[in-house]
Amino acid sequence: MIVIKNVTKTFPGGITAVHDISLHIAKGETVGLIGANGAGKTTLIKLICGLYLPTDGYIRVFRENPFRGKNFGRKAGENLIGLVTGQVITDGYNYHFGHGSALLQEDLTLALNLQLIKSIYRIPKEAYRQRLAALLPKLGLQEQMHYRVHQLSLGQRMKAEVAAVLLFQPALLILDEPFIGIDVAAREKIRDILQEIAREKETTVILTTHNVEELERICDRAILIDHGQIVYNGSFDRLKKSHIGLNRMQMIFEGMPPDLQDFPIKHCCIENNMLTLDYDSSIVSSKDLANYLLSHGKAVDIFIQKPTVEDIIKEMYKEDHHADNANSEKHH
Amino acid sequence: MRDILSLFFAYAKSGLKSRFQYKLDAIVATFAVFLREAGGIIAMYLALLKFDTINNWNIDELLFLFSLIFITYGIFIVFFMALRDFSDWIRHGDFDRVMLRPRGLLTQLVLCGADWLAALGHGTLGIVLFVISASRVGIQWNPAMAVYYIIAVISGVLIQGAIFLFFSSISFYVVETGSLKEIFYWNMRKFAIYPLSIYNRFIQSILIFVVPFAFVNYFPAQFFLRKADMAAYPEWLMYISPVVGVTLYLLAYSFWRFSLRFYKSTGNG
Repeated sequence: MIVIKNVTKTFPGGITAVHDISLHIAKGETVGLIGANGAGKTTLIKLICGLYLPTDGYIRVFRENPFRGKNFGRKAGENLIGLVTGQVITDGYNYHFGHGSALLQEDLTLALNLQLIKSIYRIPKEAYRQRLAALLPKLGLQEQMHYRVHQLSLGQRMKAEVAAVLLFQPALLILDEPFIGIDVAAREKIRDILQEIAREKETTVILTTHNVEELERICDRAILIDHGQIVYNGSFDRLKKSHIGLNRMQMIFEGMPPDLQDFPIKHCCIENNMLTLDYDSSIVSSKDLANYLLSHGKAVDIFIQKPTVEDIIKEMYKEDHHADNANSEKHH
Repeated sequence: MRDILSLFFAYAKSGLKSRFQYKLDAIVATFAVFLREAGGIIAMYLALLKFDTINNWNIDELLFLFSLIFITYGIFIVFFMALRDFSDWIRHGDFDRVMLRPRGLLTQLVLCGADWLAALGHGTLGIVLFVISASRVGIQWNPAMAVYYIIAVISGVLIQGAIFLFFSSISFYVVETGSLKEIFYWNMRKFAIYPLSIYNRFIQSILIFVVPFAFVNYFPAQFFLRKADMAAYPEWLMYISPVVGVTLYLLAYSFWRFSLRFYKSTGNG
């Protein structure tokens, strides 16, 4: 359904955001696009949507070139692309959705917004009623229908965007950083509905994030991009097993930290009263480790850091490097 | 067509509802537009009391000339508001959303942007001026004249729409077009408030050939008023006035179609 061959996008000014990427996504697949900020995720998405013309390479979405030059715009009855952008920009008091692709108009109530979408997408009355009746309770938005969109909290706002995009049943659904800055309850609701869509295998879904664990439960496949290139393309399991990187737990004690006995910790260091532990969460569970430390010492404060995409990528490069060394040794 | 109309009404309904959340503000805003524009006219009226006429146009004839500017602009902002502010749409990435929808791009832009309250402000002023002046300049209305008038108004709207469609197309190449609009639309509009014949040849040519505001109000007004200064121009200019709008709009539309291929979403990727 999406075929990308050797695609490169260089912006005027010389920045290459996507570099020689090849990728295939089948119909009904749910794919997680993972990368740090500026890795090229959004550029890749805009290439798929036909909003950017690739500098080089070949893209087909629904068997056609998404970038149509002067024949821009989609026709009635065509396969639809639903794009939700969740990247928020906050200045402390206000937030607004990144880059204009928000489906909802801030100054209108949610109800009016959805009616407008009904008209724009020519959704038949009965279908509209049924879809709305199914979506609103799932997302818990019934009470928010008569709120103006700018009155919604960030979580509600994101749920509303998801409701809006699902209302017209796109064949390709793209969510760009849907989980940034939203509360746990809203995150759960969105995750549930996405899982359901992924199970039905009717809609092709692309989700981007800079946090691997967000997508694990939803996506069939993980694609990691770094500096505009795909560095990993495969299952989440394999990604986790081979490259997940280490968790870091830091605990400050009153007095000496307790003895760690035989916990298989990768790296341990004590500095003043702070104990820093790097460990593999698939071998040692954070819960067991924390429980042990809390019951054996007098802890003042605790921090747990999960590996970031940057850590994972660093880890992968390390392994690649080892592999290369191993290969070159064989040749010798 | 029915489909387009229903979309137009859907946009109109949501646009009005959003403006009328703050009813007092909406009413004040409409009045503010009305008063701001009327203020300019009153100032001119007072100045004219000193002169009596400008190039032999008396105050009622001048009001008739203005009324065409305001009526056409009032309709213009119902349909071409999004194109008027199109560089903002591109800069904020709003055009991306438009492109992903199963509707014509221009259809969406034309239908969605209406600023009804400003339209009401400008339109009401135009109609008030028209009613006051039309009865006093001694036009003998007949059906042909009424038809000419309606077509001239539509044409005037299309001329201004075409100008902004042209600027919008330029936004695909250079994102910022604010100063172009300032020079070629807003300044020309100020010139068009007075009879064309008071200007030097250079400005006249611009108003006829480049930014053809002369066809929005001067030539249509001459059709009704037949002032002596029309002698300086070929008489047929009065009759082609209604055609100019359609022609210009089609030209601008071709340029828009051509320029679309140069659209690229903004953003840092």
